[in-house]
Amino acid sequence: MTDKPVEHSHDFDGIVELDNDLPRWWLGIFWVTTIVAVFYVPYYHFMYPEKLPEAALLASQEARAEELAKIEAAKPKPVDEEADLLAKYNAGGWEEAAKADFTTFCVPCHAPDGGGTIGPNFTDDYYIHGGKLTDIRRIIVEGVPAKGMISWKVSLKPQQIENLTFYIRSLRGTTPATPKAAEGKLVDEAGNFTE
Amino acid sequence: MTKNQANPDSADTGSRAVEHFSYDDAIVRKFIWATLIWGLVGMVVGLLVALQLAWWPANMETPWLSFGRLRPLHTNAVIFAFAGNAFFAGMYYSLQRLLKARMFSDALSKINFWGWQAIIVSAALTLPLGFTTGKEYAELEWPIDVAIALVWVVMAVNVFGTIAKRRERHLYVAIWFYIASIITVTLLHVFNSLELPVSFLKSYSVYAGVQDALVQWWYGHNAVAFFLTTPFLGLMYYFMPKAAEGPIYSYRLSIIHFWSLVFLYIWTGPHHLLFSALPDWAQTTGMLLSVMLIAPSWGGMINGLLTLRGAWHKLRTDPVIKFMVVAITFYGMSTFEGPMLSIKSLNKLAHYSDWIISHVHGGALGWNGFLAFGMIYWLVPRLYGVKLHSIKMANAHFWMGLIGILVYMVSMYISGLTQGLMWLDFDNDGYLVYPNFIETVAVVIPFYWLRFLGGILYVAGLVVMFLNLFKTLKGVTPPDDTKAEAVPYERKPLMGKFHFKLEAKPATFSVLVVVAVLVGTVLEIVPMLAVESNVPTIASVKPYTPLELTGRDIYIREGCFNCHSQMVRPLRAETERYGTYSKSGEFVYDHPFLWGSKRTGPDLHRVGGKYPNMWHLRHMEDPRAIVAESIMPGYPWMLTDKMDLDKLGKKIRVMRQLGVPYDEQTVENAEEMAKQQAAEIAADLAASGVTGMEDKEITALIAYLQRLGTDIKK
Repeated sequence: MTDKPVEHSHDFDGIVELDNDLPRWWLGIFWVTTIVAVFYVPYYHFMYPEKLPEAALLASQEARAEELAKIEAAKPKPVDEEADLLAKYNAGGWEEAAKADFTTFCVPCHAPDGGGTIGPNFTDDYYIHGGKLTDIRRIIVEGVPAKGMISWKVSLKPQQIENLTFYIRSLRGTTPATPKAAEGKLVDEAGNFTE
Repeated sequence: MTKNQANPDSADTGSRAVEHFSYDDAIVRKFIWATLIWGLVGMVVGLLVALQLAWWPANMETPWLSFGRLRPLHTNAVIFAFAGNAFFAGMYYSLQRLLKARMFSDALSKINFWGWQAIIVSAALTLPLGFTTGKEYAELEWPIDVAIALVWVVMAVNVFGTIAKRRERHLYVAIWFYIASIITVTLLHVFNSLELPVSFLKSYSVYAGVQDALVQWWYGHNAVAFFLTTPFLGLMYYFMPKAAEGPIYSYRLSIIHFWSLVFLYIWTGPHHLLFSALPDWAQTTGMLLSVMLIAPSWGGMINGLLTLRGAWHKLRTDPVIKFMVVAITFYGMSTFEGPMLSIKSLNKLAHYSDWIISHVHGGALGWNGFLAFGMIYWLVPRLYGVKLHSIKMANAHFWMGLIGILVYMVSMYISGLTQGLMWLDFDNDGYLVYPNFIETVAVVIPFYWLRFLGGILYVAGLVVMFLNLFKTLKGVTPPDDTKAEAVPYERKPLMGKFHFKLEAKPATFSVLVVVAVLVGTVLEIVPMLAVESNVPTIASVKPYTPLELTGRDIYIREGCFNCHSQMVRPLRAETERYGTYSKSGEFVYDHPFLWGSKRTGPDLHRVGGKYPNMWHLRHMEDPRAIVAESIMPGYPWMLTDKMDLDKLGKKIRVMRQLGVPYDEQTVENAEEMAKQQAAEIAADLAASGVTGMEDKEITALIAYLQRLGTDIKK
């Protein structure tokens, strides 16, 4: 290939310019990107508006809700949920997994030994929302937004939440290093408020 | 290859006599030293902030040494002090020689130099002290903004004055790039910095929320374009052929890529806001124009690299060529990676992650750093009339720098990809695999160490350069200004093609540049400011209370936005992790917007009401008391420092001037209202066992954090 010189000349501090044709591959990139851009607008905004971020999110959220509803419907529904949970609690086997999740998710507000810091103490016989296994599980699932207890149903799976319920129940009656003062009302052994 | 071609304008000198003059070399030497010294300072601060991310105790529990305040110092120092001074050095050298004229005014040159250094010093003082507007790469407060505008205009007058008294009629392509940079940076700086002062060092952006975001990233991205790209392309067009002693490959390519670059670049800001609350049409525009920029960007790379055709052997022997070729290669890589990152599918993964950190450092360390070093190695022997002390040391610098960049970039690629994949990862049951954000932080710490090592290597290379230059210049007195002679050009009618004639008309040329950059600016920003449907209003969104506003100013002062975004993207992985996605109507009272661009920590837009007040107090006092593996600096002084309510009334008044609907009662009783709300929060904290917080900064910050993102729930 022979270089094309510039037709005109001037002195740019001795710098020489050639006037070669634009490389074809370079022009190719220019044209392809421009054409893609032109076609992308009708493709994305008009032909497939469901691809727009908000529409796509909505679709994925609906799909997820359906999926969860199916799972929920397929789950066995024990007549007495409290008794069912209690049986699983007594059967054991959840301890190791529960401790790991408790350390990750609960310790920041309830202390490693469940003595409570920002959140309430799990070791005493006083409960704000009830001390039955179903109560504990309900609070983990739904949270107490007004008091800064997070709803964990999105982040944690049902099995994890069940395990944590058991773990928290098992802390009752233990002796923490620095127990937080009791909050709520006294409950009986089964977790029912006594008054 | 290089030879002085006959100048047709001067073929017949007629009555025009040869004029004798000299080039101002002293000013170039000054700028070179400023480049090197500020470069070292900015990069050492970079090392410190890199260390802070790997090892949090490096924050030293000192307000002015904490990451949130030092990160802007690092970015401002390397962009405006290091790259800025390098641009001035190279431009002052090349402009005079390309125009065959001494700078228009030595006095203006000096004002440019000392004014710019004074601005840098004021930045280095105010940023660590927490004086910041909260807008990335535009953090400096309004008096400094004014100073920047003035010094920039002085420089512009000096440059255009020199062009006016030129002896070479046609402007070389390097000067086109200088002109485009000077004009566009003026435009960007002035419009993005429009702010209403509250006091000498505090102001609020006149734009709010999504509009502020668009203006900010119109500025932010084009700071990359017109402060770090076009000025350096100008430098490359001069110094590459001078150093390689080869011809520029294609004049017509330089015309096409110059105009397409200038026209397209200005549109691309919205690619920093993909999947944000910015309207979809603006996001699409930003993405597509970014992709279209690949070829215009690469035009510069082709013209630069092909200068070496037939002389590639110089790459083995000449460190100047090595630095420049690697710089151009990094430019080519960055300008390909940038458009790819602008594609929404990839942006989803990379945005907010360390991938972006890798990308910008490829540009900053590779393109800007290496081009500046190559240029300085070429200039110093010429400006001091000596030979470089050691080629070996220059080669050592090259390899240390190159390996440093690669270690830096690869570690940040791995870290960024890890973060992006973990953030988006769902398991087979449809649950987030890593619901706990800290897992995604802890896993990348080894790569933060690796990045720190890469940085050390790069800075060590710069130290070798200093040693080499000290040895070179030991006992050397700078020579007198270079003498030159030339014949003034004859004002005969211009002949030839359109663009060739245009190159001899700097005023027309400049007007066309203004038009080119205004098209994208106007078409993008004006609809955003003027068309109401772009920001659908949400009735329940109300202005911040006086106490919350006080807390917000603390959030800005500490630079929380450097690590925490406030923009939940409309992706299920984000709505599950953080809550409802963010909508543009929620930010209408946010002067400035605080969406952030990086998630070193989690997003905070939906943090309001998530945790108890006590959680925030304990967390700010010592983040590790709540999250054991946290790398966030502690802010214990917020529990003892009293909040500043003195200017609160003024702040509310300024906000009202900006259109935030505060009633007269709030303006009058701002301080009282703040104290009342603070007392309520303090009472809640006291109930949890911490007393005496009613007048402390932490209470204002808690008020702000608890308000964040809660209005739409009402």
